[in-house]
Amino acid sequence: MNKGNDSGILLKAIYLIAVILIVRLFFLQVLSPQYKLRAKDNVLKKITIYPSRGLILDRHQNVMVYNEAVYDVLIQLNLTKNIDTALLASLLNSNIDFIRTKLAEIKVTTPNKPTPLFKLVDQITFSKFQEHLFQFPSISIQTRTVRHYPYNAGAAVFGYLSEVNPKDIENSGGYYEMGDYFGKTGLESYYDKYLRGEKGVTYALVDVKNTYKGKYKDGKEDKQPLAGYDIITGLDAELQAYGEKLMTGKVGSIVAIEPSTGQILAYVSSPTFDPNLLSGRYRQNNFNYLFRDDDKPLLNRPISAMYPPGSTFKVGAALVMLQQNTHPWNWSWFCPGGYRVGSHFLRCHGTHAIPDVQTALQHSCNSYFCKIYNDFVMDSTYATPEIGYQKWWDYMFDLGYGKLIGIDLFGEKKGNLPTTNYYNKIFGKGKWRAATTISNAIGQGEILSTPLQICNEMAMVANHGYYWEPRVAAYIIKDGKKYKVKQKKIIVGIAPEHFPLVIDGLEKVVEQGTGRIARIEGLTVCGKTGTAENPHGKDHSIFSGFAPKVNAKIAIAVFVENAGFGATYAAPIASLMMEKYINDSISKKRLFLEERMIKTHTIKPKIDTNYIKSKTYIDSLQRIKHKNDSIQKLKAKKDSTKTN
Amino acid sequence: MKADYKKNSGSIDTILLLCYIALVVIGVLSIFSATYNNEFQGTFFSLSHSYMKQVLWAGISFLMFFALIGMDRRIIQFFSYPAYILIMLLLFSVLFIGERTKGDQNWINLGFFKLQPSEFAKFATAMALAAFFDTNNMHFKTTKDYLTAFAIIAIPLGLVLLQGDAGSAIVFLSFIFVLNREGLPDGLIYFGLYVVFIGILSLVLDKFIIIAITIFVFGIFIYINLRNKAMVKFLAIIMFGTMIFSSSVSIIFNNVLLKHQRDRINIVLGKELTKEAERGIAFNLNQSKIAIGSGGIIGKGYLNGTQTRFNYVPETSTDFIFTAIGEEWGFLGSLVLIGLYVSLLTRLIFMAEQQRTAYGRVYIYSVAAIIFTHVAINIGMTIGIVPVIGIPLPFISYGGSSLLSFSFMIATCLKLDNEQRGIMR
Repeated sequence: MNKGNDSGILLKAIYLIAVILIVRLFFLQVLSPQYKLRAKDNVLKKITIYPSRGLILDRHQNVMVYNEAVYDVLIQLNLTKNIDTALLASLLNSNIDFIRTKLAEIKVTTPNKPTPLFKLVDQITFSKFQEHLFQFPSISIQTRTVRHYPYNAGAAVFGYLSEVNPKDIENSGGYYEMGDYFGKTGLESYYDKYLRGEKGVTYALVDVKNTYKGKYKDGKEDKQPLAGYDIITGLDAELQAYGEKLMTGKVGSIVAIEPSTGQILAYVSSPTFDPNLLSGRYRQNNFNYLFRDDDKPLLNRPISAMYPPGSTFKVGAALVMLQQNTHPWNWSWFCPGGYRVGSHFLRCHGTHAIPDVQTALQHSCNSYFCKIYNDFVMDSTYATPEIGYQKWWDYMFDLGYGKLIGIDLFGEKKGNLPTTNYYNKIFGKGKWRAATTISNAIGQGEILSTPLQICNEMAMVANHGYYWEPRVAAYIIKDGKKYKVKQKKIIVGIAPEHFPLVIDGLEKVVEQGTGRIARIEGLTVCGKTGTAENPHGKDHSIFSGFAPKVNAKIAIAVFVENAGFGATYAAPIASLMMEKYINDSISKKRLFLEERMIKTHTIKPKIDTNYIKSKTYIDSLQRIKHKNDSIQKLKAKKDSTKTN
Repeated sequence: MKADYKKNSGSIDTILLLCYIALVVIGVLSIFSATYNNEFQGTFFSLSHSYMKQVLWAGISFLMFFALIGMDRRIIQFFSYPAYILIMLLLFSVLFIGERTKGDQNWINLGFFKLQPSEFAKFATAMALAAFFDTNNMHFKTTKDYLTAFAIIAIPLGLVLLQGDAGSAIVFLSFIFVLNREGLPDGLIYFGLYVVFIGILSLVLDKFIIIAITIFVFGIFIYINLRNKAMVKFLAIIMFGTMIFSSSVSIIFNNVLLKHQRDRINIVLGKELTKEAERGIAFNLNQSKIAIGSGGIIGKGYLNGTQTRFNYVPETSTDFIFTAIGEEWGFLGSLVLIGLYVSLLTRLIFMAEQQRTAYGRVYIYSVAAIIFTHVAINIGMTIGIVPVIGIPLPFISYGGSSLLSFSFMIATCLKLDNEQRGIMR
């Protein structure tokens, strides 16, 4: 009955194809594990959760640096066709052209990924935008934090955050990723490891359009972020702000140290700027202006500006004299109005009889200190002046000149204390003597020091021969426990018994000497004025000192560039700072001084309009206003649709 | 009721029926998995979900089973030609009133249902072919017989091709298996395969290399058969034919085929693609392979296929539904599925051979050939060994026309077999 071929080729074909399919599936599903990984790659999106950076507090636990939420506006272009660029521009205070170019750029680069359109949008702008967010389904929001500084102070000491570059990523050992922010300068940089915390991560499932579909494994592999450690500094927020206020319109620095702990109480670099300028959406804009400013507000003057110490150097000179005992403390000298070295005459402030070293300090007599320097270096017990100078150099180095003091900030400069090699090179070995280097005696010439070094020396004097390495940070708070920041106690090679003599001299400076303007009633202030000769212009005004005389609470150094005598600017500012810190307020009698200091400017004030400040606080009144506005807008819309 | 049928006819073939039911159930489950998401619109049983629609079509198919089983086979046979003519008219009218989806003009919108006549044309052709072979004194030897049989197949093939539905057109080529069963020499099929083989080879290799290989291989054959003059002549014709054909393949490929068809072939051949194809079809196919490959041995589990459920693979409920099964049930699941198809097909062929009439044999055999072609092409394309051709996976892919059409085929086969059993008793 059946004709043709029995069951034909079809049956064979069925078996053949079935085998081919099964073999292929075996290769695909059993022998190719890479497909599993690729499927995982497809659907898993790693989302980084940024930890909040550690707070920075002052010694009284006032918050000086905290975090404020800002918002990155991200757009994913494949989710949308039409974007109301005009509305977007008006809501986000931008212009249409910028948005259009940015969108065109994203369309080419990453249309399938949420890509930042605006970064670090502040709260007020964002709250306005949020009400319209539903009109932009392709836009998502990433919350970030930026630093905020309620005292508007401490720009130099805290430093700023900046976006990482590939080298920073390498240095961080892979912790940072492109687009992250890290501490670039100041405390933020030095303690970045502690402040930054640990990033968290969450794995999300996404579909082909990259829209969120839920958590991967119900969040079992997610990691919560760990907040950064808070830092308690030794700073006094009020004093810091006050110092910056006093330095308005002047170039220079203030460093104040608590002698008993080595903690920095105030750290002013002037001209300064509101640290909030370098935080948030307009950071780059503001940075460019600050960078171009002739007065170099970004220079960290207390540790990286170097000045001749001037007469403040005489404090060290007096101590060395006593320790080495080249002269007794009551060695007297008649100052003929200067000191003659060959044909050169080093001028003093007048002719006067100096009965002892205290008086020499009190009147800041140049010739007295030239003489004792000369006698030290040219001492007949030394075979050559070079050996004498090396001995003197060793003392000065010990006191903190020409070396790093070791503060917890990057960028500290050594200053300059010329070595014997230096003079050998210039004059030739054996061809120089004390007279050749006589300007060293009074802190001029090649000697350069930083304000930190001068202040630290004062702290050492107040402590009668030792100092703690200065620290801005006092404690790091980890899991609620305070950990003290490591600090070394440095004992200098001056016997403690020599200090009372010098301190008495410093007291006389303020009571009856060159620093009388620094006197504070009811408080014994010890200090030394200085005037650093400046070959480029007007002399620098310097004052260093501490108060009170016994158990000093504050040691301070004030440098005001191109301001003349130490007594004119530096001394009053230093005394106001000391009074403010110890007495908490300025006595009525001295308020005029405060006003004068704030109002006299040595540099032209900068026009601030170039800077753009992000809006930060959103107070409740404003919030209510926003709400009412939007309700009214909605009503107006409804009405218009009704009439239509 | 079952006992009632037993009175006047034989029993229903349970193996075929169970295979069919299993496949339909797998289909509904897979459609649910591919389309279900956590944000549910409406209630679970709402007909707005495609899986519920599929359930509805399965129900309609079930009713159709009862209707057909109760019918006399002569009625089916009687209506073969009219049905064929009706469907051909429908196919023809689609060209004018049809609606376009994805470039193919193959739908007629009936409001509640989108009718796809090309699906029904498959079994209508099978019926017409069966009826033709059932005529008296048909020996399938004369040229006239050949031409008539080819015409029955060629008309729907041509009409479907005119709709732009190349995928369905290829399905009609499966009737070659039927003609082969009925006496068309094997050589013709082998020749066809040879042409396809040379065609693929010409696309992959340089034409001069192919000519060189052809001359070399045929040279050896000719040398061996040097004494057999007729054989030499035959081989020489094939050799020159091959050379001419292989040189003209690229012309045909570039001028006759459409761009997207060329792209789809290029993907399988592993050739360089245009950027557009790279982002479009190649991306889709790659995602399909990732989905199936990521299923592993035992699969990710039902409703856990991330690739298919998060839309990385397109058309997961229709043409690419196999990816959902491959991803969620793994290699073992795929094995079971292929096993079900193989048993269904072998059962059909077994049934065909049991038939006493040419009508039954040709019809059932045609059904087997159609289903086989669909399965081979559909699964083959999802795993990248066949160019992407938009035809459904029988019983499983979402689509009313397709499910109804395949169900009708199975139901009629069961009916023909059922009556056959009645006769044999």
